[in-house]
Amino acid sequence: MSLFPTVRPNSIKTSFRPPGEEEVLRAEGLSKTYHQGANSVQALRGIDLILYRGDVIAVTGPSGSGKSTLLNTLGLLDIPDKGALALDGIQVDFHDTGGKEHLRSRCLGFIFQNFNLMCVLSAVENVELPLFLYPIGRKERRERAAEMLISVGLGDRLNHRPPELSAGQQQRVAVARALVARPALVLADEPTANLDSQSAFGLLDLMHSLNAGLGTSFLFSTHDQRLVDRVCTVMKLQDGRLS
Amino acid sequence: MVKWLGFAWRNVLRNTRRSLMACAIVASGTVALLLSIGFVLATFMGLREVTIHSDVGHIQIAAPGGFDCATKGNAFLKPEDIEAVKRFVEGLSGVRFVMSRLLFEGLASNGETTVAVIGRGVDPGREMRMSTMFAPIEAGLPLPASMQAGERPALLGSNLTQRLSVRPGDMVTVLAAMSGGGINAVDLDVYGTYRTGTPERDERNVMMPLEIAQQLLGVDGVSRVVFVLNRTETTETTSDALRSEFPDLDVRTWRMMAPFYERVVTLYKNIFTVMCTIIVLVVLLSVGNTMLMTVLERIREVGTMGAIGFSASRMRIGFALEGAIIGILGGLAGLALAFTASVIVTALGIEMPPPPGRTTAYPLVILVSGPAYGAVLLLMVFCGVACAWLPAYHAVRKPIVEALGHD
Repeated sequence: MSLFPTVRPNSIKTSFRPPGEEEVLRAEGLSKTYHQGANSVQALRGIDLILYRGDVIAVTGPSGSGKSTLLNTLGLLDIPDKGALALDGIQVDFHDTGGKEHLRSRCLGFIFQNFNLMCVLSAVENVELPLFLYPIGRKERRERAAEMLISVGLGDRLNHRPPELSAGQQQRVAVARALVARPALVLADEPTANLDSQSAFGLLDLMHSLNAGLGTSFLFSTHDQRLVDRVCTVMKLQDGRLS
Repeated sequence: MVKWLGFAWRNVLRNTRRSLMACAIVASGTVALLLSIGFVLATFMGLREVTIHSDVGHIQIAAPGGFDCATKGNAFLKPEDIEAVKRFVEGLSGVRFVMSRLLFEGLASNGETTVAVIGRGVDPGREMRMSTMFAPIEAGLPLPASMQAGERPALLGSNLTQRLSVRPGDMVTVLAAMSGGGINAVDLDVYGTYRTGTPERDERNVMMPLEIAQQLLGVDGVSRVVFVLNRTETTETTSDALRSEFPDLDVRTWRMMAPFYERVVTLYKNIFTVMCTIIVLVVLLSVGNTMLMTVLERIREVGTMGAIGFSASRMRIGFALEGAIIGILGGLAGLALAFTASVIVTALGIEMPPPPGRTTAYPLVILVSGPAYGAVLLLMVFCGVACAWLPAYHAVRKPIVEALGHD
């Protein structure tokens, strides 16, 4: 039974909603405080949140409002001080490293502000990386990675290495990498921060299109108002609280 | 594993100059180790064969107590014992030949000066078969393989001739206690002077044919029967067979009679262990520094891999594979260089100065040993893996969020 109000304004229409409205993520009372010497900063103050399959949600807020902490916590990269989290119906044990690795590889995809591609690998090999954690053969792995790159419009850049690609193209490779294992939820921390306007809008369109095609949920942080205007659901994070 | 090897290979190539430097360090360490090992092994083998073939033989048999006091009356091997040994040897494979020696202590005099000497009656023909280096002549002639009637040839140690002021062609008188207790003397013609290899023995040794020594001591037995084998490796099996056949006789192998060899081996092993440790430490520190830089540069990648879901152990293995590749490449290059250097140095025939306690120089030989090459290659791979493992161990333990934010 839900103990908290979900942040899903009914007035805003989400892009894709399969029948049954499956829950992808449920967070209850997530709190996180950073300590630095005598000072302490409460980054998250009892965050309650439910995401459904197909949601595309932007988290906005001023610098230092806790956006990255929220995404890191929801992405199982950081451990909250308090609270509970369920991903794709599975309760997360934050102290079970192996379990978190498994959940990240099966349920989550990440898009980073700096793309974080492996520069020694080609685009298709970068996209293949998450599939190494799946028991599939080399041929199938390569085919799926290539398909994903084609779907993000980089069919002609399969064998290019990251330094040979533009920033927008590199971010598309990162999107393809995040989606290739068909995760239930993709988390993106300021994905457009290093992109020009055209590339940023292109990336957002791509996320919408993949959301419609694959049913993947997207949760990304941004403080770029131009992007916020083009997203259906926006949550504002202020002083560690969602509104 | 193949995909991770490919990934590791590309990471090795990522910074070619640095990887080449690491490989060069590994190669240098490999060359240093292999040349040292080759030199030490060649020294061991050379010393072993010199010890065996210059004097000791592979196995010696003496009467009980004969090794401790060869000149005592009851310490001689009787003629029937010698015959039994010779008959038994005919059925043993791997024995090249046997020969007899008679050892005694006595005095040598030129009429004016008398010097205490160690006498040795030998079979010159067989002694020369055992070693082309037998009694290397410094001046005059060697002992004849067979004696003419009335001949009384003798060889004197090179320093003994100086003490007695004699030269080849002169005569010396040798006195010794007979087995019955009396004193006997024999006049010997100095055929030549020879070097034993050790200065102390050069001052006291007198060598003569076995028959003359037997006449001098008034015995028909010998002090020792010396066995020369085809292969040194069969020494233990042959000596075991002799011990079981002749339980009443004292059978000793060359190792038991050459404590000098064991001391040299121990000394060289200790020196080599210290040197090997230093070389391995240098390799570890140098390659470790390279791998540390490699890992530190890729902390963000470690964070990304962790975020994707790769386990810490999986990432550590990736770095270890990179270290292994550097170890293999550097090790193989070192193997090739060491092999080439060993062949060239050995072919050049460089002469080394005589070691302490010896008077003869020896050629510099670097042995190429397959097992040693394999072991050093494995050691270098291990060093590469260890150098990568340690920094990787710390890198992958870093919290993912911290790693992702690393510059």
